Amino acid sequence: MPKRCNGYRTIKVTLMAFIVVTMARANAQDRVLDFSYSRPLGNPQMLQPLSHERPTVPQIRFGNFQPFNEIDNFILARIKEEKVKPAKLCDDWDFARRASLDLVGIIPTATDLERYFKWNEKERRSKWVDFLLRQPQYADHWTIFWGDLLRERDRVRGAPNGALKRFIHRSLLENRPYDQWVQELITAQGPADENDATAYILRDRGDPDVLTVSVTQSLLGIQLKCAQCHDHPTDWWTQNQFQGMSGFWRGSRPRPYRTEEVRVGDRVIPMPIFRLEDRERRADGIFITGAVSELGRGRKALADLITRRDDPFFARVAVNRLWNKLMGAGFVMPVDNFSALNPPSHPELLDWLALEFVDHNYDLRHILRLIATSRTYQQMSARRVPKLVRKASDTGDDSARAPGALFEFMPLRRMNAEQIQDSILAATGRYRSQNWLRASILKPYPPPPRDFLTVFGVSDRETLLPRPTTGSVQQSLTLMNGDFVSAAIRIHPDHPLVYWDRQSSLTSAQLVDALFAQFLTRLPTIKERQWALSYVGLGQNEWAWEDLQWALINTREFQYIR
Amino acid sequence: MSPCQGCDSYQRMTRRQWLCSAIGAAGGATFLGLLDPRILYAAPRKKKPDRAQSVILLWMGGGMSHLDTLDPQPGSEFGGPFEGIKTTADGIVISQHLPRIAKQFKHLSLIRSMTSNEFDHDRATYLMHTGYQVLPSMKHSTLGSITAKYLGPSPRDANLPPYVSIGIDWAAGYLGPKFAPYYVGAAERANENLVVPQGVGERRFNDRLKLLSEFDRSFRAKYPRHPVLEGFAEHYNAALLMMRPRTAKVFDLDDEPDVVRAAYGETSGFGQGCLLARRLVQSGVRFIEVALPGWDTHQDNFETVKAKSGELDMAVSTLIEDLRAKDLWDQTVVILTSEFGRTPNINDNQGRDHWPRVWSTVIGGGGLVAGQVIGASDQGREVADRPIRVGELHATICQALDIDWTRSNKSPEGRPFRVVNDHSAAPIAELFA
Repeated sequence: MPKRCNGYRTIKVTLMAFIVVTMARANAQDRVLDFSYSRPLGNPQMLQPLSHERPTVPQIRFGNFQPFNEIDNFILARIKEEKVKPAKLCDDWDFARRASLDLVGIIPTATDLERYFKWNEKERRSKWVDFLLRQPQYADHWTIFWGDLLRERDRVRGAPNGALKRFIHRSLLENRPYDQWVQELITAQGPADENDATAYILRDRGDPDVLTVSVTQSLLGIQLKCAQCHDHPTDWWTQNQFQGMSGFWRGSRPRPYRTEEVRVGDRVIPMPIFRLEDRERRADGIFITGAVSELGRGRKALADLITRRDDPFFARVAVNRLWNKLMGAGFVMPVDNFSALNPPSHPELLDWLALEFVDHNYDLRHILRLIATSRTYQQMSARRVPKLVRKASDTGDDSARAPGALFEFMPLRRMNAEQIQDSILAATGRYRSQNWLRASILKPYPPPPRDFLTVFGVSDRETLLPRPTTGSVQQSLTLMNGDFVSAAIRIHPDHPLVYWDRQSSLTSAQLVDALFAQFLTRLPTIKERQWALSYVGLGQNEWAWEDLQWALINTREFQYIR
Repeated sequence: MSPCQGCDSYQRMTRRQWLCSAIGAAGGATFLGLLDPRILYAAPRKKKPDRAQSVILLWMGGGMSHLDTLDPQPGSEFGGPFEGIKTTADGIVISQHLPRIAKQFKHLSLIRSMTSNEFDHDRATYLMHTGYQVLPSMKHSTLGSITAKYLGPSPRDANLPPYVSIGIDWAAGYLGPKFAPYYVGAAERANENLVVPQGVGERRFNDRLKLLSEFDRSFRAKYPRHPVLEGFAEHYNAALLMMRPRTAKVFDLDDEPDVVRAAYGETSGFGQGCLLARRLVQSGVRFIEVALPGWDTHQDNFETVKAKSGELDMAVSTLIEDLRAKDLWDQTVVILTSEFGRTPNINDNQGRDHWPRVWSTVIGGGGLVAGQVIGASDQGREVADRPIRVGELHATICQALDIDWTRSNKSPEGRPFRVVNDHSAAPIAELFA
């Protein structure tokens, strides 16, 4: 008897000591006690790994609607099943404008369109896509896109200005595989002035928690922000998992390396340059899927695990983002909420595209080409959007479906800030300008509050919230009265109008046609041509041509992607 | 020739004449669809004369350290080096670096027990502005949009936007683009886009509008009543109406004498923003937010707070004096708040980190009772008495404006959203006589 009492007492005392010590340690670290061991193991929102087998491409016979590539097979099969009619194809003018804006971020110039229409009708569109993907503007445009996701800032303490932007731009220009440059970003080492990729980590001072939130949201499409401080009541990510992911970054320290003297005007400012070092022993990362890497538990392991072929998130998230950008909505929405509880609208197509991406060595241009040459991308934009949501028939599924969820038409989209600004510059022959009227790629991000881009909505490069897409009174005022438009429309020696006039001495009517093609990617109607001609009159009035450009820029048509 | 020869003619014409001349031919078809500015905003409703008419929200972005400003704890372990000074309100002590505001405190009340659960900037800012938590799928409307909807346009000038946001931008939310804030980036240049560009006269501008109407016609015909294009016409029309000289002048700070501009803080963007806010209140704008960012002092807390306090002190004290002098104080609710406070614990970089468990808010004007202290903090660390959450703050403002905070508005999908999310929230009784 006495022996057992002693045993119980020992247990009780030990338990009490354990609780006291744990609580003391927890309080010392100012963290919430984690009782998540009591949660059921297994996370219902975890996705299945990306399998190696491709989903079968459905064979489709659907009247006059012919698939152009495998994407269309999947899309048309669903549309047919839901007894909906897909939209007709858009015309060549619309396609030229849409593809140009989506792939290179500017409207096509009249010269480009001339070349486009000279091509054989059957190959015109695919040749146009190939042409666009080869332009240097491709890298410019997508640097902004990936810059938003990677929260690229021009000024990063410890790195040269614009380092990360240079890295992204170079990677896109050379079409390097996506998984490779992502790996380089995560594992970047050494002095910042020898390795631009270090700017990604230096931007957040190597802070493991901030980097965890950023990397998981942008690359893996999951939101771990809340799990940092507590176990979310309705989400299944736990604080343990957050700490696990955060562990990969521990031991990566930015350290001062040297100071560079930078001349600004007539002052010399000392600018610190940091270097990234690793103390691998400190790293203790645990990946969110539970997968383990032989490369240890530090950054190299994280890069390896994220870019693994069967990772449930990496490839799917990437192709979903690309689809979202071109089609106006992703298969999974919101694009950073990947979860088994938020199923994609087209799970087989998402996986097929993800595998296509992986099998083609993570070639971004390949996926963009596939999407842009599909029939689905080339559909007309909806004239009227039905208000009624139609229920899926035959499948027994009672859930209502929003119009456009089957991608049965192209939604009408607003141009984003960079597209509007850069299109104005391209249309007025100023895209290469180096003064204050310069293309978005030449501006430091995030742009200052007074910048044209800020009025139209840019990412703050701090959070990963989606950009605002609605118009505003300020935007209307900026386009009507702002300095930017007033300066851009002035007739300068390199203005296209001057160029066309000099090259081919066109008549006024032909100049009006060229102007409409340049700004609105279409020819004027008879009435519009008459209006424009009577406005311009017989003389070479520069102000009249300025007013024409002003009017074209302020139309709805200019600002929307039809 | 005057630089803007358009202005004189605008003043000669009546509003309707001007609009008609701007519309162009085509048989009187409305320019982009709308004529009457009252269609743009909700109809102004009959207002009880003893209720507040406007709100000025002074937003301290980044999380203002309550311990070094409004809830000082001099001499305590966490108090930091700042001393406290008495104010003209009995028993209220604030930081020594806000002396001018201290003199005005007899007109203000102080809430010392604001509290929330949000540690993150975006989430906390969103919560304080909308009363809701961030959702990935949609944006809620801010209190400003709600005020704009329920109070209607300015009774003095219907062309003015009812909700103006200076230095901070917000989406319209579920109430739609009609009630989106008019965003002003920098108060000193608030009116730069409200005047026709240099070298373009009134007639040329009207000609441009006629061309625009013509060139837009075919696209408009192709996409009739398309939801995505919905706000477009409204925004352009509202923009044109704001360009009228009388309206544009409200945004022109050069209209104020230099001595007034200096009193608010010549080089302070926030100060000039407060001056613009006063002008807007004079013209009847309903909700004005002026942001002073930069309070996120994870490093060098004391230096930064001291510097910012100087700027804040000058601008806010002048604003209060000015509103009182112009007889606008009783009809304007003024609130000064932040998304959270800062930790009592001072970190290794001489900074303080985020602390939503307790912080302070100043509220005054609009017929509210002055000199009150609502709630208390336990030496600035936790709420000791009367926790006040965002719902109660919003309900208080609604009560002052005579808005029913229990009402709901429907989003475009048909989901109802209460004006004040918190069902148990009630206005702070001590602030009402």
